[in-house]
Amino acid sequence: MKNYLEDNEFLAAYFQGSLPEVELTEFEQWLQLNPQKKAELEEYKLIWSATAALDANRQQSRRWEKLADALNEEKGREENAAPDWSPNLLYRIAASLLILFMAFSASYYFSAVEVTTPTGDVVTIQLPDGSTASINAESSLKYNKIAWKFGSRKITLQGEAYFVVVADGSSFSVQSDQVTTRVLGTQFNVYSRGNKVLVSCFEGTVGSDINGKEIEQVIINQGEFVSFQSESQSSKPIIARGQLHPLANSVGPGWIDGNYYFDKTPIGEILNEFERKLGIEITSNPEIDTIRFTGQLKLTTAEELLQIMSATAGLRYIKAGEDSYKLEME
Amino acid sequence: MTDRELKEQIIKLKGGDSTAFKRLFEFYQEGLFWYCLKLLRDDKLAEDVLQEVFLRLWRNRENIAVDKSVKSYLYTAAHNLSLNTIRNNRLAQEKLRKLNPSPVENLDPHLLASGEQLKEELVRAIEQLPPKAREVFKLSRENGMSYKEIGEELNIGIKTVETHIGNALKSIRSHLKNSGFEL
Repeated sequence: MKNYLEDNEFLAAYFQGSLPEVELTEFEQWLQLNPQKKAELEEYKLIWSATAALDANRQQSRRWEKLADALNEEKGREENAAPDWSPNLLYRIAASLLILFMAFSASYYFSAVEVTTPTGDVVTIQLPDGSTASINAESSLKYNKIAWKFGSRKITLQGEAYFVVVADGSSFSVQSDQVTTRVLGTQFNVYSRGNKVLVSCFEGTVGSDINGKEIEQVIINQGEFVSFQSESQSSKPIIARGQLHPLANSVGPGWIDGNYYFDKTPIGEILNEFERKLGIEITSNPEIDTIRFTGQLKLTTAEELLQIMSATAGLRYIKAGEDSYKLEME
Repeated sequence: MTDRELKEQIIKLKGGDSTAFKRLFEFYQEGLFWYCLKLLRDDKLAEDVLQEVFLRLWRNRENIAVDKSVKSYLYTAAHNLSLNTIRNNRLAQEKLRKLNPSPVENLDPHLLASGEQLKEELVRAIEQLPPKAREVFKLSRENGMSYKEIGEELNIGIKTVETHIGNALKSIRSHLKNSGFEL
């Protein structure tokens, strides 16, 4: 019998939509008899669809126009006081999501550990194997006690934490965004905020990889760091490794004791850290955020810190209210 | 955008700032589109879901938590809406059985990355086509030209265009298979 999918001209005509009705019907009957060919056709369909969407810039503006039209139409409807169905629907979606979430969490409830730190606070916890994790402000760390017992020693981290691992060959992994860091007996810090994951090793060895691809892991030793920075949140991170500055290396991560050493760190990241630590708000702009700062800073008061940073980076700061400041280019 | 800029855009969005909404759209749309495309295998359906996700973000803007991840909000919505679309689309029902059909809380990082991976592999596969097939294929897919228009443009017959298109589809498929990509 004829294999339709081997026929180039047929395949091309099928996707163009230019097949005569009769031939199309025959083809569909043939597909019914050949289920594995159906799967193959599905793959061609994906390729056909996806290759139409490769020109990212053109697609983006077209998609935006479509969305803007839909928004305008919706706005027009609201003004005409047409029946408003959306709150009800949203409510139902929210309710079903909540039920699913509750069912999910109930089963894990008694064995799940989740520590979330507020602004201005560092919390140190002990892990089941005796290792400790110090969790920096505005971060959250999760693991499951039962899973840990059965050998699935996985920690999920959002934000930043410093791990001191017991020296008996214990091992676990820390999942942060796309990056997994595996412990090989050691002291290390994981920073995961925005589109950046930065792993610094202060003692021993750790290995980090993307999406659990252990075979491609980057192994770093004492005094080294590896950073994974991606442009958008779904794109592949760019990997960079290097040496920690000797000053940074000697004291461990700065946030543990308030003695920071920044090595060409974007000011935006530093401001974020001080906001989290001091519970203040600092307004700046993208130009300032990307300036790189190198030097030692001791966590004291907001004004003192801003003064030092301003002086070294050619900025000035204005007190905009209680606990809120504004940074500007000088 | 940095963490900080994102947070600023979200605060503005909550206040009804449409420029912030547009910036968030521009930042997330490409990744979300490929994510939906991988699930739905149809660019039109994927675009419909993408649009619905952002319509909901806009409608729901006042209730967004600034310190929660917008990324996970958007991808969860995209995932669940895609699954609904599959359920409502009888042709795609079989696909659903292959997928892990559990909604929310299930943003598998492998799946998150696989949409972008598909895009990268496709670009590579197209680059490896024989020059003539590549030219014909690009005119069809990227410029949206019909076979007749391509034939006239390149001064070749429609049958030849069709042969190139069919060949291109086959070699892209085998490229993806050979590079271990799960279609």
